[in-house]
Amino acid sequence: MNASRARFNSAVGFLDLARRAWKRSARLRVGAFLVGVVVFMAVLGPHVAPHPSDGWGVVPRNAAERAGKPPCPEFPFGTDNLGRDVLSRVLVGARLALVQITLVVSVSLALGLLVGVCAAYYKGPVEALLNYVAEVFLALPALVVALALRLALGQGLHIVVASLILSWWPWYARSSYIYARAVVEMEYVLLARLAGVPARTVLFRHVLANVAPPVLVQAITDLGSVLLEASAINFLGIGLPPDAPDWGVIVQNGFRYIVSMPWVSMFPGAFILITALGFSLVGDSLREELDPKMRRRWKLWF
Amino acid sequence: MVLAVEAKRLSVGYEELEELLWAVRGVSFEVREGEAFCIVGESGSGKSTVASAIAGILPPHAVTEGELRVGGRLVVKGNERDYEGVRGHLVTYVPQSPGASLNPYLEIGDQFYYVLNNLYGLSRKEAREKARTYLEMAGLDPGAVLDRYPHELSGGMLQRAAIALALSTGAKILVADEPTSSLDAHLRLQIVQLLKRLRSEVGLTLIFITHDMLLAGVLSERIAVMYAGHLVEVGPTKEVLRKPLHPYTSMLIECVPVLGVKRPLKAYAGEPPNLSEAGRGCPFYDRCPFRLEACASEIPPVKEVGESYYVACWLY
Repeated sequence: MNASRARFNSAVGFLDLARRAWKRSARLRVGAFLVGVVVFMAVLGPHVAPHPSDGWGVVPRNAAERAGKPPCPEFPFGTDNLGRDVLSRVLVGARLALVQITLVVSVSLALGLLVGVCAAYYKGPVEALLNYVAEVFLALPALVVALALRLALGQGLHIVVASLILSWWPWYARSSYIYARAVVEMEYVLLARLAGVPARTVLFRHVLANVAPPVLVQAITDLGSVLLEASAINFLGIGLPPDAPDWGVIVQNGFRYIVSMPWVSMFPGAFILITALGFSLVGDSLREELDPKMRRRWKLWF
Repeated sequence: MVLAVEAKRLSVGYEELEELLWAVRGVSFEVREGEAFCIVGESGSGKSTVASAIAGILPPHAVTEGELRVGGRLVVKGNERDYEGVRGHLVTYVPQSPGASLNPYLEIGDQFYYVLNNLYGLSRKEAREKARTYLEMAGLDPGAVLDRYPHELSGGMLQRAAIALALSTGAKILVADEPTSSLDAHLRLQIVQLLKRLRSEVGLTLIFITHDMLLAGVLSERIAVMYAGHLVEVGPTKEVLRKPLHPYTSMLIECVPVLGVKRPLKAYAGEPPNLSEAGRGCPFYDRCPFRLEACASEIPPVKEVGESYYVACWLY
């Protein structure tokens, strides 16, 4: 039985989708490699960083003699104006970057899916109310929310995460609502309802299962965009405190010396780029696999 | 005589925004136990709605009038519907397009499990065993089908799986709503033969909805013709097909081509009346070649013209 399961299970689930895309699309493999590098950094970063305390933002004792060194064998990414090793800071920062984006995307995804599916399933006032609430939040820019939260709650990780969740979840609510609108009209949903299956079970077994895959793919693409947005908030100094090991903060630290020590901003910036690129490549190729109509006619070099 | 289904002046309507559309208007008919009963008519004639009413799957926004008994149990009385213990236990349903009626994210085995678990509280293993017997009965290889998702099966296989799923409930009245409409001609015949075989094997009462007169002729013992929500003719299939009484029935029969026989095919001009416009007279008045004066003003009453043979037309 298990053998036949493995053979015939070539279907529509999310994992199967990923497997098929992996075989077919080089872009997915490149994207997955980039994401893999960042995840690897996040896991091992603090342990392999050559100067761990620099990484956490502590100013070294011999700061004066180490400050502002360009990339060299001892400091491959150079040092910043306070003599901290940029490589160590970037390595330690990877973990925080991933924590931020997974927190934001998973919470907004769960919230958005639930709201969207409920809005489509319970028609009438519930639908109107939930959609209205989602639209109100859709109108809020993350930066403005972050600014307000910063004034009310002070600095910290919670500002970045909360403001991004508040402005991201309505997108998932919106798209899952649209997919769910079609699914709730399917015969199997009506038949299950008439058979007396409780609403909660119908929602999860029939509606949510059919709505989730395209929204999940969207969420993977969004991981990159969320990193960009989070870095922007941190760069502007609204989110994390000035010496936190976050790529946006490091870019901001180097920004004042952009002419004399460009490497301080360049390297963390490059990692932001790589991560965002990796996630959007993965998400893009998964989306193509999900919906061949969206396949592009032109090709990138990979 | 035991009646499987008995409808008395049954009307079914749908609430669309502020409007109420009557899709079925006061039909009365009987289906005997063990009989193969066909309801034919063109699209929008209300035949699918009758099927849903019998199977107990009218959507919540439907409105009913009249009476309907299924398996001796009163399920529709006025606008009250109670299918508890009837739906899935006494009557079961084969959908029009199983592709849209089976959840694409559940394997065929799981579809059986959820249905049987919901009805009888069977465990996954028991449901699988049961699914095996019924899939085999429907002419499928259970090992090759149970672990597949609906989209991996062909239309004919899906329809067989849907029939097996319907039978596995143990209900003896099977309502099949155009089960062959999305299939090729030879598959259509296979499905019909399967239904015929199952009918004698299991002792089913078969209520078959179709717009295909040929299939109806092959399959059924009695036939009911619907037009614009009215039942215009009900009678033994052979007699109705050989010598139709109602002009609409003869129109349906005359427009069926016969392979190898050259004969003029007739199609009557016009379209069925819009359901939202309630005409006063016979619904077929506009297209009828034999219309009389009485037809315009009054709906013809149902007349018994033979043994269990009824027609609603002023000509008789």
